[in-house]
Amino acid sequence: MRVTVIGGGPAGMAAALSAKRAGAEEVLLLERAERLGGVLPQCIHTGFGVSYFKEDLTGPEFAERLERLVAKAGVEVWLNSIALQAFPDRQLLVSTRLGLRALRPDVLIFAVGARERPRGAIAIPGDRPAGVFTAGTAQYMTNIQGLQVGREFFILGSGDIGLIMARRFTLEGLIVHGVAELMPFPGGLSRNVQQCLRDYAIPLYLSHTVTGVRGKQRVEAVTVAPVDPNGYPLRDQERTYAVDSLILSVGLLPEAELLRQAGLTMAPETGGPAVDQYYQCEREGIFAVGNGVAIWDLADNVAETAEVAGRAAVLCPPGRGWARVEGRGGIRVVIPQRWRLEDRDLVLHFRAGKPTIAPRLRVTCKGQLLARRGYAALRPAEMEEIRIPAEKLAMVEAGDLVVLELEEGSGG
Amino acid sequence: MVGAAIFRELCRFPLRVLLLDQLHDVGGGASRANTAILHGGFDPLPGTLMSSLNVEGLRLWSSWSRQLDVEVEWCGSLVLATDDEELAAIGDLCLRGRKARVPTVFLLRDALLNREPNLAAEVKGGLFAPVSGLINPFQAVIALVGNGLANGGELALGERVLGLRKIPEGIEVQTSKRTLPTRFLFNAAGVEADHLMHLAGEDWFSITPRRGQYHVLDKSIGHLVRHVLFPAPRKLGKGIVVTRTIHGNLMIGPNAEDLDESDLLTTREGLQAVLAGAKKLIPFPFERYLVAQFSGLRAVSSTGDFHLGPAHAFPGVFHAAGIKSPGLTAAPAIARRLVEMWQERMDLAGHKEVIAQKMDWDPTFRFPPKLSECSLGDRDRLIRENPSYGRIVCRCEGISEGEVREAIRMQPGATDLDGIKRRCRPTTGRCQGGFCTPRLVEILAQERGAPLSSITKFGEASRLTWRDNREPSGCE
Ligand SMILES: Cc1cc2nc3c(=O)[nH]c(=O)nc-3n(C[C@H](O)[C@H](O)[C@H](O)COP(=O)(O)OP(=O)(O)OC[C@H]3O[C@@H](n4cnc5c(N)ncnc54)[C@H](O)[C@@H]3O)c2cc1C
Ligand SMILES: Cc1cc2nc3c(=O)[nH]c(=O)nc-3n(C[C@H](O)[C@H](O)[C@H](O)COP(=O)(O)OP(=O)(O)OC[C@H]3O[C@@H](n4cnc5c(N)ncnc54)[C@H](O)[C@@H]3O)c2cc1C
Repeated sequence: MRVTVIGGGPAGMAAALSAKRAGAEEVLLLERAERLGGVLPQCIHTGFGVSYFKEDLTGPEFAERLERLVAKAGVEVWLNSIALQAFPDRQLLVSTRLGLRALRPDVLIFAVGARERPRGAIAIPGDRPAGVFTAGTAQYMTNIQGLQVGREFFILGSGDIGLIMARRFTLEGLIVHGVAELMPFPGGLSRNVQQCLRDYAIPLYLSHTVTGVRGKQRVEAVTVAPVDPNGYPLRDQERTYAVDSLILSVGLLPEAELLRQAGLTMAPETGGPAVDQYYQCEREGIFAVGNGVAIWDLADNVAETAEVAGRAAVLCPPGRGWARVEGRGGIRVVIPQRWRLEDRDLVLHFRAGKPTIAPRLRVTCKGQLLARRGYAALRPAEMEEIRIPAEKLAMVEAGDLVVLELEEGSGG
Repeated sequence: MVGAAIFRELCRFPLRVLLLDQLHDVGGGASRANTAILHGGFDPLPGTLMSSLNVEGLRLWSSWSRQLDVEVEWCGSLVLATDDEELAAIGDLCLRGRKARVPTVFLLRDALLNREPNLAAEVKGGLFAPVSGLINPFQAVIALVGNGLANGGELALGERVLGLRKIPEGIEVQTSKRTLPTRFLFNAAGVEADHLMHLAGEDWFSITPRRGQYHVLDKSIGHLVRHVLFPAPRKLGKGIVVTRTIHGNLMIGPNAEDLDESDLLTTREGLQAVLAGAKKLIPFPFERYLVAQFSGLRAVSSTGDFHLGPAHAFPGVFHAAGIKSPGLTAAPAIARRLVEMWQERMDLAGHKEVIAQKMDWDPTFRFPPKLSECSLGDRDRLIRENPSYGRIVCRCEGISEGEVREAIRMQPGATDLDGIKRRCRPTTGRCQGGFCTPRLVEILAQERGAPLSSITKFGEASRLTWRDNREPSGCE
């Protein structure tokens, strides 16, 4: 069996590795960059690997470990090789430094990662000078290229990358004037809010947004205002910060283009393809893993779930049809969106739409309760899971709808 | 665009021609921020210069685009009416078109829906102008300048004209860098053309900058429209247009705001007006597909028309002023017309030798290869000859390292990030440079033999980074 994995980040490496270990004869890993690792090499902070390697590592260390395993297992790696086009029959067109290549593997695994939402996607008005960077781009330029992208910063969005960069700039001796977040709650993990902002006394302005950028050639100032409950800025309370850089951490979106070309439909809540519990998409032999499916919190989650896919790609257990899975009432994202009927427990990953204290979650099908669980708290920034025992799932039939929702009256 | 077209035309003749611009690249004024439509010519009032030069310019672009390797697409345009008043306005346009000999067809809703299935329910009828379309305005300017350079012209950038003085041999131009003697000066200074007219002693003419803001939208919704869609005409300009760009993005805009001073800001209100205007023609949640916003300044003249011709009291100076829309479309015709005026003068003065075209004048220009337009076989061959064509640096638009290097090496070459963008498109895709910016900085620094920290976006003060930590002293 020939397996081709597109994308050499933690997801792609873990999927390639597990496919090889599961017995695939030929596993090819394609990476468009000049090195493996995806975004990990630029994440020079710690916090990686605690569950996957049982050790707290930096991003580059996490990547290196996986890379070594991949090499040892005998996975073929092509660097500087980008999948340009993908077709529904798993044909691939790849551009390499040696020429174009056409491939048609038995199994295709997309591990293409995510991209950051840029300024244009949220239409921040004002001038268009140099000095507006997305957090990941600033991170690459700072940590990989060794460049100083600015001296005085304002950060819009409290996504994890923005929080990490607030700390990074501060450690470099640069000044971060503050972080504005449109929502009334932070977008990043609580641990990052504490360790990256509070510990360094960087102000976090919730329910605030950047209303304008000024500067003809390089950013000279940004204006920031609180927003009303509908997200409209209150211009009379606008404040001006004299900074030379605006850093955006306003969300990641799965890279969906190639998957769309392959004829896969995208789930609107995640922006990635709809997958089953083995991360198989709606077409046989096409899988998608990692941040290219949905945005996970940690590289560990990404690697672990990608392993599931790599193994399934080879040992593909036969299914008896599919049921749909949907989140409602306060549940924003559920993975998988399809359940391949089988006699095993099902783990659902989900994200709440807003912070909720002491909620109870219930999973039902055709009015029957499959699982129920209470949580101390749910936060949109944190992906949670719930396990449904196999015996409960026995009543679910092909075409049924499994619903995940917060119980009314629970939470606060 | 106008200056570049004049430059190309003048380089036909045995002259020394210098193209001067205050900016650090060509095509950095209004010509880079507009709707990029090749207008059909039914809109300007018949009898005006705008009308005749539009029609003539359109005809010239159909041959110039082939000679100069400039992307154009003849997709046709529709002017849409939502009520009786607007239907009447469209009727007037139809008559104007007839006078200007522009073929147009009036279509009722059903016929319109065949062409544009996503139209708003309110649209009652419209005017179809088949001979109109889209152009790549960045490429057009670069090709015109490149053609002039290849035919012996010269280019000076980052140099502003500050003053003009009459001298016995002609004109002395005072620039921000030097004093330049010249026999002739063509003023194609866009929104600042009135300022140059003042320098030449004329103050009867003035230009008001009128700002227009735009949203560029994702390519995945480019198929929403097939033609350029205009609303029926209003007082201020042509209203908010829904169109594709030549590269397949959807684009909506511009609104219209008269300004006291040139200011290229976008505003929340302006951008919202653009969304609202576009939804009148195509009801669609455009706000979910935003990619970029920008604004441009129209050079609205006090006379309501283009002004072309020799200066009243300054021999040797020729003006092209008040060149607002349809200035892109008309540019080749404007250049021809001005050069003819100059030729007449030279003829009268007995200088026949300089008005005969050079024997070796080459009308053509070719851009370096664009992978997206190559067949797979050609693409493969290119990569084998030069592996950098195999390395993609812009993932959204699929642009290779090789193409970026050629954009820097070509004449006129890119010297900054915006220059690369205008030549081969990286940073224009849906990630807006998030992925490619660090790579473009590296390539540009390598090609120019300059430190990474010296790379700019557009203009001297637009440095992307303050220092390179690998160089202990930085590049301050
Ligand atoms: C700033 C930041 C801080 C983080 N902090 C933490 C943390 O503290 N702890 C933690 O556990 N996690 C952290 N993460 C999250 C973690 O890095 C991601 O979850 C993980 O890298 C996602 O892995 P991936 O393989 O899905 O995507 P990526 O790492 O993005 O890899 C995708 C790869 O696919 C390649 N690719 C894409 N398209 C193609 C194509 N067409 N052809 C060939 N190759 C292609 C890309 O070049 C890339 O290498 C952080 C992330 C960031 C950005
Ligand atoms: C919002 C908008 C939409 C439009 N849409 C269309 C359309 O769809 N179709 C169409 O046909 N036309 C359109 N137009 C019109 C068209 O864009 C312009 O007419 C055309 O670009 C004008 O070209 P130009 O060369 O005169 O001006 P510019 O491109 O502005 O060039 C003038 C140049 O002169 C330089 N300069 C000025 N002063 C000096 C000085 N003192 N010293 C040195 N250099 C100087 C400037 O730096 C600039 O580069 C539109 C215009 C706008 C603003």
